[in-house]
Amino acid sequence: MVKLTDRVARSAQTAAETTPDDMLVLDLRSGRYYGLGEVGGFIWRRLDGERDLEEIARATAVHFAVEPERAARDLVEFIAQLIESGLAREVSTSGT
Amino acid sequence: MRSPPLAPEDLRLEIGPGLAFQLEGVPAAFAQRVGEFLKHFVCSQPRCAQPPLRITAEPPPDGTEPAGEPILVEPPVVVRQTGDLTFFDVPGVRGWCDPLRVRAGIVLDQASATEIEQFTRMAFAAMLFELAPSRGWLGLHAAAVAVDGRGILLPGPSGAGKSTIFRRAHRSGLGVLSDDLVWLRETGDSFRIRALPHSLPGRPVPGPTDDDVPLEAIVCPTIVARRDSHLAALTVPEVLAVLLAQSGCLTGGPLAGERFKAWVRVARCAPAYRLEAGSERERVPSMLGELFRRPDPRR
Repeated sequence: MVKLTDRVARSAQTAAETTPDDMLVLDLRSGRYYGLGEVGGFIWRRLDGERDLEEIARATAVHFAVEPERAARDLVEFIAQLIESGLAREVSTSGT
Repeated sequence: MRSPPLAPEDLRLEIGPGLAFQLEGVPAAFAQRVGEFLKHFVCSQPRCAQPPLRITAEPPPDGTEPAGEPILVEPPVVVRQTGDLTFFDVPGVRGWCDPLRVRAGIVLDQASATEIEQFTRMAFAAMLFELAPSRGWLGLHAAAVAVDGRGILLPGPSGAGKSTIFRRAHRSGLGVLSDDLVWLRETGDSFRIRALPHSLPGRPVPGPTDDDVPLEAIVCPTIVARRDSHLAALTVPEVLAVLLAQSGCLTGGPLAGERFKAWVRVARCAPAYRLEAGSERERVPSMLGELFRRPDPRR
């Protein structure tokens, strides 16, 4: 289970392209692609492995004008789905 | 009337600015089949300024052999990816393609005429599709027509109605480009359509009246079991799914990510629709002819 203190990075085995209201991500290993939607695209662009999820949740709450608690809850759920699908991975705090 | 076979040295394919292919030293039986396939282009296209992409009779580099599970099986053709190479195999015939280094080869090993027949079209088209993106061109299994010089792309699997709509469009006076294969070339924020007619022997189609037109709409046809025909808007992900399935864009490979991005750009560059073609298909050409009077569903 990911936590807000975790850092998460996009998988290198993906390719992404934006559309006016969506972010489409291809899993290069399976050939499957995913539509992340506008909010998902906003989050995807910030999954650089440098910032923690709390920082991304705050930015999401401000950008989409939602309650910070709700943004954090939805973010953790979304990130868990990305990791389960192999589109993202946790980055350990030791940097390994 | 069947055209005379072309000599191997004649097999230079000119698709358009920046894109030509040359077959070098491949066996005559294969060259003849490809020559029939490409005859329209060999005869009609202007010369390409850039050197052609070469398809030779050489074996794969470093003796690389196909290995692992197939990524595509469309009997009798089996496609495998090993490292950066894509292999297309039928008994007695092997094609290989290295899109990263823009080279390809065809090796025949005592193949029968039937095996060459089975291999030629799919494998050769797949090689063109693999190599052409290096020159900024994308190949697509699609028909294409034009209304007042504005291109409508009709992508879809075999049996979706591409050829039926193409023939009706031709009879109705719309511009026709291709009933089966097209090439797309990116120019700034838009794409242009170039035809690659399905010119296999015994299946003549009308020649193109517009050979390079802007892509301004995408219509994904499907035959339905009712009388009336109907158009409905498609979202970008919906039309992207159709384009990827018909792009010959094989899963994986070193350039898969870039190609995916290019197809997303195609999917979002023009309004897209699903065309459910019922039994009263005479209305379909007029539906296409009036397409550009509709408000853009993306707005």
